[in-house]
This record gives sequence, C-alpha cells and structure tokens, in this order.
Amino acid sequence: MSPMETLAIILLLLVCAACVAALAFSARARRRMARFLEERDPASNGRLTTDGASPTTARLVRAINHQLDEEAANRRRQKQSEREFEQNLANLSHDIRTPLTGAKGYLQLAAEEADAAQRSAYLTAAATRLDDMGVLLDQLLDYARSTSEDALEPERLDVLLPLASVLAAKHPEFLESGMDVEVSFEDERLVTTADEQALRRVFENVMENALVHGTGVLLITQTGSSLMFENGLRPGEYPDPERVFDRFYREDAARNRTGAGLGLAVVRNLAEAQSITPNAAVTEGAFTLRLDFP
Amino acid sequence: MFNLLRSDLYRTVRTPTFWVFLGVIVAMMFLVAGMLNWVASPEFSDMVNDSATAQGQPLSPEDQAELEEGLDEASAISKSLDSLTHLWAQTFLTGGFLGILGSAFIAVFLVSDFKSGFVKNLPMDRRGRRTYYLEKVAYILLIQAIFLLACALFNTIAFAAFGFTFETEEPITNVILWLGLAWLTQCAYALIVACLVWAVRSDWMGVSAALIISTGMLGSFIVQLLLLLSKGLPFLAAIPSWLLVSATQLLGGGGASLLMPDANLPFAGMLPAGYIALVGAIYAGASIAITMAVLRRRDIQ
Amino acid sequence: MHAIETRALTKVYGHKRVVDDLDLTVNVGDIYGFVGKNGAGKSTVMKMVDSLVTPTSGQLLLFGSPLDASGGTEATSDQNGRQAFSGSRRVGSLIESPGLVPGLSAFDNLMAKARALGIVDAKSRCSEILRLVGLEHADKKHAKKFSQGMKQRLGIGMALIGSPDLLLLDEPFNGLDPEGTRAMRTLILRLNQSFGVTVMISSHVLDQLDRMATRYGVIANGRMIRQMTAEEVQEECRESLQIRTSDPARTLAQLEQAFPRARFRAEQDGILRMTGADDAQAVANALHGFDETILEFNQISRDKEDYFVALMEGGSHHVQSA
Repeated sequence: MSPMETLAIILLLLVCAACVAALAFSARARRRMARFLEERDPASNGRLTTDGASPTTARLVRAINHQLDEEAANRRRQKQSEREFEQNLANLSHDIRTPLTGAKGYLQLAAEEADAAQRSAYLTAAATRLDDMGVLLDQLLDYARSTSEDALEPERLDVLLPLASVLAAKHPEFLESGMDVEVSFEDERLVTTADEQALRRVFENVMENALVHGTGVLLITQTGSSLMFENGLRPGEYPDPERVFDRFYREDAARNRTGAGLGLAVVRNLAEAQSITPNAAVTEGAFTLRLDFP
Repeated sequence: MFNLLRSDLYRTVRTPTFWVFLGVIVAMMFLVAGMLNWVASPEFSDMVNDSATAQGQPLSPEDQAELEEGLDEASAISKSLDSLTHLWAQTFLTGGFLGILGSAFIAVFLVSDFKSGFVKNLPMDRRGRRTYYLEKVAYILLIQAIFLLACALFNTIAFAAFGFTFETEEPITNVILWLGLAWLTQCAYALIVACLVWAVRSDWMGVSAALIISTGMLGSFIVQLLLLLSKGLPFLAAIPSWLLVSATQLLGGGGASLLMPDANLPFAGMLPAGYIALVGAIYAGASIAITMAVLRRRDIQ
Repeated sequence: MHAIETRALTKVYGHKRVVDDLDLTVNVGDIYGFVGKNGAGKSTVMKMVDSLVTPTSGQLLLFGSPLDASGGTEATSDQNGRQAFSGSRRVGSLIESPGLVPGLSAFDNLMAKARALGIVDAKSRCSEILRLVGLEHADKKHAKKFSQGMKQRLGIGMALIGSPDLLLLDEPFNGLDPEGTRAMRTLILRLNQSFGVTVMISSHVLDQLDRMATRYGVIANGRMIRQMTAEEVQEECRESLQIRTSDPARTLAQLEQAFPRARFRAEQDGILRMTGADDAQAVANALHGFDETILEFNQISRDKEDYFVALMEGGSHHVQSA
C-alpha cells in the first residue's frame, strides 16, 4: 500500500472514531440531564449545565432551566402569600378576640355591680361588643360566599335600578354621616347581564366603603358602560389603589374601626365573577372607584 | 471536560501572554531566515573577504581566487536547504526553541491557577479533580500542537519569503510523521514540566525547569555524565538511548531519516520513528500516571 | 437533612492538629456563624467542606452524602438503587482571597468560571451577577486594579454564579466599608430568605454576625467548643441575677422550687447566678419570703461579645451551660 493510501485509511478511521465519540458524548449528556432532574432536591437552586453540547442540547437545557426558575418563583410567591395569609388570620383573630374579651369583662363587671342602672349600662356595653363581633363574622361569611360562583343567576337587567334601590336604602346612613350623594347619568339605562343580588351587594359595599372612609360628596357617574363612584377622603386616609381590593387590606388608620377589610375584596370577587372590571384610583384627596360593565 | 477546556481557552486568548509567545515565534522565524539570508548573501562573503585580507598578509592571487570560489559555492549551497522537515528540526526543535516556549507557557499557565486561587472556584471533589487534571493534559497537548504548527508555518513562510529553496521534495507522509513525532516529544517535555509545576507550584521554578529540561540541556548533561560513569559501570551506557533528549536528537535529521533503520537503536532493526514514538510515549505516559495517581491528591491551600 | 455534617473531623499538618475531632452541624436554611480567633482552624474546616483540603480522618457529609477519604463525593445509592448526586456541586465559596485571575476583567473572570461550570447563556448570567453584586459599571476593568472591596464583591459573584444551595464565606466583610458591609449583609439575608441558600460565615468580628446568624459554632484550637442557636445566645447573655445569701445551698433549692423555669449556676464564693427569671422583683420578694439573709443581690447583664470571646479563648470551663 502506498503511503497516501495508508494516510487515507488512517484519516478514515479517525473520522469514524470521531463519529462514535460524538454519539457517545451525546448519550452521556442526555443521561446526565436525566439523572440531574431525577435526583435534584425540588427546592435546590442548582440548574442544568452542559458539557460541550450541541446548540440543540443547549436550547433544551435553557428551556428546562427556565421551567425550573418559574417553578421556584411560584414556590416563593406561594410561600409569601401563605405568610401574608397567616398574618391576616392572626390579625383577624385578634380583632375577634378583642370585642369578645371586652364583652366578657363587662359581663363580669355587671355580675359584681349592685346598682341596677350601672349594671344595665355594662350589659348594654357587652351587647354592643358582641354585635361588633357579629359584624366581623358576617363579613367573613360574606367574603367566603363571594369566592364561590355557584349562587349567581345572571339575567339581563338595567344596572341603574338596583343602584337606585341601594341608594335609597342607604340614604339614612348618608344623612347621618353628613355626606351628600350626587348622581349624574349620561344615559337613561345601562343594560347588562348580571345577578341582581350580587350587584346589590357590590353597590352596598362600595357605598359602605365611601361612608366609612370618605367625606364630602359621593359622586356617582355613569358614562357608556362604566359606573364611577368618587368621594373625598377623610384626613389621614391614604389608601393604596393597587391594594384596596385585596382581602384584609386596611390602611392603618382604619385598624381602630371594626371591619375586617373585606368589603372591597367582596366587591372584586363578585364583580369579576360577572365579568365586571373594578378599578380604583386616588387623585389629590379624592378616591375614585370604577366599575366597567361588559 | 470540554467546559474546562473552553474556559481555559477563553482565558488564554484574553490574556496577552499567549499572543506575545506567538509574536516571539513569528519574530524569531523571520529573524533566523533573515540572518541566514544575509550569511548567504554576496555582501557577507565580501565582508569575510575584507576581514581576511585586513587581518593578515595579502593573499596570493591563487589563494584569493580559491577563497572567492569557496565563498560563492558556500552561498549557493546555503540558499538551498536540505528538506522541509530538516529545516524545521534545525531551526526550532534541536535548539530547544520550541521546547522552552511550549513548556514555559504551560508552566506559567498552570501555576497561575494556583497562584491566583482561581482553582478554588472549580469543583474539586474526586470527580472534579480527575476532570481538572485530565483536561489540563489535553490543554497541554493542544498548546504544544498550536506552537508546533505556528513554528512550522512561520518558519516555512519566512524562508520562502527570503528565497530559500529545498533540495529534496519531501513526501507529505514524511512531513506528517515528523510533525507527529515532534509533537509527541514536545508534549512529553511539557508534561514533565507540568508534573514539576504541580508538585512545586512556583512559576519561576517552572520556567527554569522549562529552560533546562525542555531544551535538552539537562538531558545532554545526564548523557555526558552517564558516558563518563560508564567507564567504570558499563551498564550505564545503555541508559542514554532511553532518554528523551536522544529521541529528540534523532528528529534532527528530518523526516527522511526517520524511516531508515538505525543500528544504534536499542532494538535491532527498529525504525527511528518507532523508537521515538516509544520513548515519547513512555515519558508522556509516566507523567500522566504520576499526575493522576499522586499529584491529584494534593491539598489546595 | 443537614446541609453540612461533620463527625470527628480531623486535619493534621505535620505534628499540629489544626482541626481536632470536630463535630459540626449546619441545618438547611441556617445562617451559621462560625466563630473563632485567627488560627483557630475556621478556614481549614471550610476548605475541607469545599473539597480543597482532604481530611486526615473523620467524616464529612454534604446534603446527606459523604465525601470520601480522597476528597470526593462517593456515589451512594438510596433505596431505589439510584445514585445520589454530588453534593459538592451545590456549594459556592469565598475562602480567604477571592480566586480572581488578575489579568482579566470582572466580566471575563465570571465568564471563565461560567464556561468551566457549563452554564448556558453564560453572558447574560454574568451580567446578571455583576448587577447583583453592584459591579455592573466596573465590568471592563482589570481585576488587578480593583480595590479590596470590589475584589470581595467579585469574589461573592464568583461564588454565586453557579446558583449554589450552600454558600461558604470566610471573613466576607474583610476590607469592606460600612456601605459595602450593609450591601453584603442585605444580599446574604436575601439569598437565605428568598432563595433558601444555607450560609456558613466565619468571622472573628461578632458585630456583623449578630444581626444575621441563626446558629453559632465556636471553635478554638481546632476543637468545637459549643454550637448553639441565636436564641440560646440571647438567653445566655440576658440579664442575670447575682445572688449571695448566708446559706447558698438552701437558697438554691428554694429558688429552684419557686422558679422552675429559671436556670441556675453555682459559682465560687457562694454566688448563685440566675437566668431566665422574668422579674427581678419577684425573685427579691421570694428571697425575703425564704427568710434568708441576703448578702448580695445584683442584676448583671452580659455582653455578647464578652461571652463569645470567653468561648473563643477555648475555655469551656469558663462559660458552662447552666
């Protein structure tokens, strides 16, 4: 055999060897990847790496790592919201325990009190505390109900009718608080598909919110398929429009009042269950809540 | 292992050392070519002529003519080289130029891992260390190949640029064979230096080792010593032929001599090519074995 | 599962037992403050955990898998016969000097390590890390021109680039100015709380550890003196009452009866040290009730620093657990 032929054969053998090696490496890479995914601790920060891999393998690795990152981010978010929830639950239990303890204290005082008039004053105080507790628990129940969509029976109706009805019902409360209500409707009717009871509940809670936190005039405007509720804010109220609809959200100033911070959360739940979009905004001492109907 | 290799190559091309070494190679090749060109030139022979006449008594016309003829002949000859591989061997192999460059670069590079502490960043558990040292061996082989090819390439270009020609047209297989064996011996030297550097972890010691070992200085010294001692202890005379330096010297003859049986070799009828491959493999293999068995276990402080 | 567990870990250099029969435990999610004087053996222990130094004897387990005698992680099989993956890949470290290549820029240093680890999208990961440690504007600068603080930051970046689950930091606050220290502390806390990274920090400056550590280990002369949680340290250093009466033994018994939750230590000269009593007044009243002659009644509060220094001196007999 001539030297050239020898050379050619050697080169050919080298090429074959290289191919076999490439295949072996590829198989090894896949084995490594599989093992890593099988054995990793779910909470681990470690991610897949490559060792001299083809671009396709790199693409796969990138995609897998991306998934792992998402998973980790989700887990973190979940832990965070669990922490928040537990915190809220603790707060709520404090809020319930306080009137309960107060009621018990007043009852004890009443038991020890000889004077009938004083005794009945204590008993009234105890009763008020228990009522406060009742309000809180009602709100909680309300919220729980609002998260389930089962009870809704949508029908076509004119939104402005239940609105007017609720306004009428709440009128005495507005009078008492010294707030005025102004109404401005662009159209005569605003027809949509919704559950009447749920809608009433939404309007009730929105107005309740205005009564508790607002001052001056509550301006209700209808334009197109949107309803806007605008009121001035009492001094010391700085609500965060991003978070007003979050459950248990109470700006600290509100903490002294009874109320679980669930009113607007209920609004959001009920609204979104009917494809109504709630939005909040704060501008220069005025709070605006907007409902966009489908 | 490829990862580590990619990392090392990234570091290699991004620090100036590598490029400086390449620059030195290019410069040296052109320098040698230029010098030999000048020696072969008429100006040089004139200079020799003048200095000869200036020194002693003026030459007789016959002597003068003879001298000039001799010089002309010499210049004609020196512009024509033996063969490509012979040129290569004489320019950068036997002198130890490639040896010292290749080994010094490796010494500095290997030590920098430990000196800078970069090695602390790498996984150094059992699997990690195995990968690390094997990859370094691969790196050494790669760098020797790069330097060797650079020398060969720029040597050829430089001499061609100055108009040198070759007497014999060398078959490509000879060239490849020579390159392969040269690469093997240089790798063996570099691996020996690497072992030393991993044991001692000092860069000046590594460069000194590169200087005396990879240029063949130490080897020549040992050969002389053994030949001297063999007067009293005859068996010592057998050792020199097993030293790496002897194998390297054989490459000095160029590709053609590699395939001609040489009676001086340890095994009768063995081709020089086979012998060089064997000796190179022994030293390279031993270095790798020492590295993996012993040096790998050293603590990293 | 513990992040790190050592059993009788020993390292001998020549005749010196640099680490002597050390039992150490770091739980997953801890920030472990490893406290000791210079030369007590902290760095050596961390190097052994990082597989840089081979232990002379003893066992070292990382995330449940043992490191074998030659410094590697054995492939152990769990009950399904699968092989447990190497725990040492989950470790990032900054031990003594940061291992930076001086001739490369910050970005290139990170790239070199990213390449070596086989990280895909190395470039974007390196930029991300530079941002994380606050070096995004210095990315082109050569590492040898960095100040000490910047080197430390880059060192931390190098440790973090592999997304570790365990971080080993040897004196990480060295050479950092107050702002850098605060940034480093914030980073460590965030890594620990949001990403679940277990951190082992060695320091001889307690001030910085104080605000971060969840557990402590005190080492002296290569031996582990004590391991305790941050709460336990709090307890030990809380205010204690120093009581001396005419009949210490009887008083001790009576006080133990009266205050079952408190802890007592009988010191020399008949002094009783009482910790964990909620109310000094109550104790005083009780003592009056025992009808004892009170010779001394003092409220002492102990400095945490003093407490640790006493431990670091190697004297476990100085500071005993009550």
